[in-house]
Amino acid sequence: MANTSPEYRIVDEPPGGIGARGYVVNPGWPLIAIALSGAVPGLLWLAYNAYAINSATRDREFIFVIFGILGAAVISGGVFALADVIPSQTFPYVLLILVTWKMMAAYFVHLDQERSLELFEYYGGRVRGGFLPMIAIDIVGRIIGLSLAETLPAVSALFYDRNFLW
Amino acid sequence: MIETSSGNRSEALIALARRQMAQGDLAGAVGTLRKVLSSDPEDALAHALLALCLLDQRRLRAAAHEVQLALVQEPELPLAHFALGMLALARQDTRQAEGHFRDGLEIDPQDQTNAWGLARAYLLRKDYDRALEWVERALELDPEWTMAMVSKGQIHLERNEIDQARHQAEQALNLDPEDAEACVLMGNLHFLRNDDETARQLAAVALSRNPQDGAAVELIVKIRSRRNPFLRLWWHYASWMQRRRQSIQVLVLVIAYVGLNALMIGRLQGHTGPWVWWAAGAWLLFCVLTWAAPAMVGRAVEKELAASELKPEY
Repeated sequence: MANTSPEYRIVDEPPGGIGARGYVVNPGWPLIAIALSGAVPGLLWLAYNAYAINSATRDREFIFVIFGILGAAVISGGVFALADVIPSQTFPYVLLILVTWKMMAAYFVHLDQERSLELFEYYGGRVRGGFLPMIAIDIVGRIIGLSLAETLPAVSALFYDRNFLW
Repeated sequence: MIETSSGNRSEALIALARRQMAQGDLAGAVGTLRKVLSSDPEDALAHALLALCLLDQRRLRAAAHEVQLALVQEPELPLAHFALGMLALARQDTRQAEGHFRDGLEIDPQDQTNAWGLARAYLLRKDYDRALEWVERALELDPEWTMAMVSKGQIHLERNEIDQARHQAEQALNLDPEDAEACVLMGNLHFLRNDDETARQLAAVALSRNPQDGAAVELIVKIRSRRNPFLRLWWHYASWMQRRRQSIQVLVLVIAYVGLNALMIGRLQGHTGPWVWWAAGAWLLFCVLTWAAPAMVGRAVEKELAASELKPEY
């Protein structure tokens, strides 16, 4: 008689089994996108990648992404609300709080996702090239960021913060 | 009747998993243990063995989970305490590891694995006298245990007692010419004598048994690093980071990145000197290195496995 018991699942393996559900890239690419442009496009890409890998820690990664974006929005809003009282030379330094926040969120997600990716690759999962998507996301981030720079600077910085740093 | 046959099946599968582990076939062992646990999720021994496989695959979170399941089912299982100790060692916590191995030995003083574990803990702590004492105890309990022989050799190597280290490696290789740990120890001894070719051959033997063998990969990196200082630099960095908690890793990277951004802003405002561009270049180099180095190591390992024409005696 065949064994009908469900297969034992190891805790770091995703419930639906290991396998790609979309375009999987090395999480290093979204991390570079976050460093180059802003918090929102790259963090959303990391969230998509967690879904595509079917990462076992994806709930945790989603939480980091949500907190990352919400926190960045609050910081950006706060910094730009105080823009009039902050000396112009000091302003880029203050905006580094936003950079610190986005990079912290990004690194936490990245480190979790790196482990899931190792497992994904270990079981024969295929990792696709991330360079072109990174360029595309960077361009989209810049376009949105630059188009909002005058009207909604706090939102603009979430897509392209470099515009206000240098 | 049914219980007896399923019990026999589990025992046979566990014996198979042990053989697969000894041969370095971790994926096979995980698959076999998965079968055991699918039919009996309360098998403590299978959980403990699975924890050890996962530890070797560096899946620490999963290993910790499995070892807890083993202890819930059977708190007096020495192998579960051994796995717990090995998990602490993987996290570089030698004090905690020592406690777990001693717990295992209290349950069964004749258990050689926990005696060997204690030796590993003392070796990591560089307490070589006590490490030697416990590895000899493990060898008393199982005189033909190659892993203990290799550990004894490693202790001698750390003490710069090269001949004794070589003797241990030879003894282990006489018992099992393809023992991965013994091959790596012997490879390291050849590396010290600048005999890179033999060291490479030996690392390839270990890797052909288990392509994820960390010590064998390290030996390959050491050999390659002789010619490539950047690879050596990355290896030190990656090893250092691996031993840190996730929050510390994030903190280090964020401080470096944000600090560089602050310097760049200062440069553009004329507060800092042009040396900032050198710092930016170093950061860029660091990024490229951390990106490319794992692939370089992976390729080096693949190349060694493909290109190494193993000598007949291996």
